[in-house]
Amino acid sequence: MKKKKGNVSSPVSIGKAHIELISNTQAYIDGCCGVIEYSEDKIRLDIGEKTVCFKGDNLSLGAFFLSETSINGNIISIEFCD
Amino acid sequence: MRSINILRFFRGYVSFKAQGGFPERFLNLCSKENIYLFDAQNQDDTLYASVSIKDYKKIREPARKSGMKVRITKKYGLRFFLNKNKKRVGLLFGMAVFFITISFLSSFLWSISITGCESMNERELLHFAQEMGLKEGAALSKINPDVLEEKFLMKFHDISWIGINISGSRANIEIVERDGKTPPPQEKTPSDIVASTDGQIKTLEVYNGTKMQKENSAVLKGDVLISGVTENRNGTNEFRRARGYVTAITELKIQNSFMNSHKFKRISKINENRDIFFFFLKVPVKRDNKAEKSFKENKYLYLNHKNIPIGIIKERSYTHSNSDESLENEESTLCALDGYFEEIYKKTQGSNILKSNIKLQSNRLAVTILDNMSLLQNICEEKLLDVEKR
Repeated sequence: MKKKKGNVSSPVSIGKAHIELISNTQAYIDGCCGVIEYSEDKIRLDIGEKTVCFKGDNLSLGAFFLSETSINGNIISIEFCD
Repeated sequence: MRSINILRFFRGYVSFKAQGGFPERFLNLCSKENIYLFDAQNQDDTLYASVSIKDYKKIREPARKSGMKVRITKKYGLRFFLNKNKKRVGLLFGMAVFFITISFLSSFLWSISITGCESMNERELLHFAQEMGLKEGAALSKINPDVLEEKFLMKFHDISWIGINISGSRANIEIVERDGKTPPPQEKTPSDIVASTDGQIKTLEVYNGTKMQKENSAVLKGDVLISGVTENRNGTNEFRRARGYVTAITELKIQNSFMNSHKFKRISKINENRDIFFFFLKVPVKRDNKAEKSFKENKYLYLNHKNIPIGIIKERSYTHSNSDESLENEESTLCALDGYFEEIYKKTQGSNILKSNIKLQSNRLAVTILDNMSLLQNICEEKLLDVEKR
């Protein structure tokens, strides 16, 4: 039996970042390795294999501790880059 | 979120701003050093963030490495508040007294309420609860709801379920009464319906059983109206529970006399005692001599739709003296009328009064009220049949 790749229903993917969104006002990122860029309208985070870029207005880091980060503000877009 | 803020307040935290250098590197270094930063915001090349007091001491190294200058903008928390007000002993003392008083008072029961009481006497239940120790001012640690529930169920057989819920300083006794207090006769128990009084039948509706009387016929008390014995076509008898609705016109005579020479007592003195109560403490305020009978009235402080166990107990007693004067005719008439109305209320409940012929007779000795009434009433009375089983 072939195993399906990228199973959405798997609860935890070890070693990969876990991103959770609450509407477009809050984002929780688990597995963040560091902050690459930080400004009011753009926050770029290192999530291991890729980087994730949150664009919006009045962005702030609600919490930044170990690998857990939360972003507050008006999120307009999320981009993933290698 | 609110609980996190409360925790932060108790532990204390500082808000700071960091300028110059590289904010991203500063954030990463803080993360590596296990410094928990929150509410970080980057505005006009200035990083605003908050950090706990303990972590703020560790922030110097990441700031130096990232080339940022850190400056405290505001300090928050209980520690700073106490430091700021440590010279104001009165304030601190007041706060301590406040918290001690709150914690002391919250260890007592403040109010008791009863829900679900329909036909039962709420006062009786409350009185029993007080006897069992569930009363205003009782220590919460001494109240055992499970034991109390059992005692209630043993004392009051009309309660089918009881729950005593204590939330904070309030107790709520929730009860569910039994549906039918006297178990109705079983459907299969054979019975007749007989006349409960003499009268002339006006309506006769049979739901089950055999009709024994006709409409407009006169019946005496105890006559069978609907029989529970029915005859089958094959000649055998069957016993059933008779059911039906029978109304009849009945006669009722009411006579009530009141003697003019009736000895009565007059109130000669009113004595009043007043106590101020605070939970279980009673402070006497006013004391008069106590007479034979007294009436108690508790006035509670009422806050937020709840009785608070703080208030005044008024105890009033009356001293009576025998009067030798005889009653005036009008006074005797009023007393006779009072007794007459009481009797009417008792005897005509659930009946329609069709006719009333009231006569008032008065002489030197007494006042008499005579009334011949015609009533339309339900005269059904169930009488169980004794059937021998073979």
